[in-house]
Amino acid sequence: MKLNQILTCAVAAGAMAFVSDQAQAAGTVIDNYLYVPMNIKGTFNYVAGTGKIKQATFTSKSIVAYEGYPKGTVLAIGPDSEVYAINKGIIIDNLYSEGYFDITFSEYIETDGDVGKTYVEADSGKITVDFYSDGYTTLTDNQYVFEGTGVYTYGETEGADNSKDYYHQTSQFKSITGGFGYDFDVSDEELPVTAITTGSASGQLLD
Amino acid sequence: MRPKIVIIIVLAGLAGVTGILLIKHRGATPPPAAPIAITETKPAAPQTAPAIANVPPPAPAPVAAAPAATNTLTDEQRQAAIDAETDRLQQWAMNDDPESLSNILADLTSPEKEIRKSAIEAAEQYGGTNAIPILKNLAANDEDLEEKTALLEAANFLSLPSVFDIGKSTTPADREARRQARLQNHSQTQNPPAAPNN
Repeated sequence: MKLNQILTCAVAAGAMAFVSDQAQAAGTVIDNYLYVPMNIKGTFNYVAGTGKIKQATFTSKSIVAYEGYPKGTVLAIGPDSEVYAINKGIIIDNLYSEGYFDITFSEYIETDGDVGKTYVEADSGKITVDFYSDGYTTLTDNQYVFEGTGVYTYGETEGADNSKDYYHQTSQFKSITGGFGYDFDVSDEELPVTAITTGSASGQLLD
Repeated sequence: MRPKIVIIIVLAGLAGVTGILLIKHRGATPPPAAPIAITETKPAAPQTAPAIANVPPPAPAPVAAAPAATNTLTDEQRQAAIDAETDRLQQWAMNDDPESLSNILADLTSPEKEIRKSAIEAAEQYGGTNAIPILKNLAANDEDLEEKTALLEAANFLSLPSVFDIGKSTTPADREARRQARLQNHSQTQNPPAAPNN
């Protein structure tokens, strides 16, 4: 084998390594839609005794466990801002349809346009993040509830199409919300709740 | 071209590709190596790693292969590697096995700030108290105020009980009784008894 051929093979092997990993990274693309995994973390404040206010936490993972989804299940925001449970790249439930999660984005400001060959978008506005542990529409019928309102920021980039009409999209968002909730294990009263929700994802989409 | 020169060029090329493969496929062979070359200030490694029960020790940060990758990765490739690692962190966070936690902890000392940030979030999602001493130790040696704060906040977050665990001293029957009482109260609120007609 000539030197040029050997070097070409080496470069090709390196390129395949990247393609392979990009395919793994694109695990959140389902039916040509980029689902953005959602990390929510928050705290409830509650009275733990005379003069004592303590905090207890919740996360996406603890919600997944409570709802009984298999280990490794990820919560992700999909089409229409609905929250999905995804396990090994397969949608196993729609938490909006179940009545567990309701997230609403109200865009106030936006900027978008092309920067070089990349489309860039950023927006920000009001977000509401509501969780009802048992899917009942009446708040107090659920064991755990939180309803929070706050501000979100969202950013998205889309690269140029490649020769097969695929483009690379990245999406990320962050919100900080506050509101009230219920944890009927500790109190029948409304409890103050804060939460930070973040998400980021990237993948190859067909134009 | 002389054979010696050919061999040297081939070996150099293979070394570069091997470096890339090692970095890109760290998720498949835990414990992982640091993914990408150092391009910014990273927190100083803790002097003494606290002992953690049932968790494999995190892999030492940057390996010898990293400098080779520095010269090889374009900005797009570097970002793709960061995105891929962020995806892996997301998945590790939702697992319960010690290897996943070990991978997360290893990324707390990644040379890439974006990965360290994602690793902190992943540690919070993973839960448990095993990561707390490492988070505190890293915070003590971190000169980046923002990151130091995030590490300490994560340690504090993990030290708190879960909403789903507190108040469980009552039995399921007690909780169901309370729920039924709430339902009863709710139905009475919706259909209040008619006021006496004087």
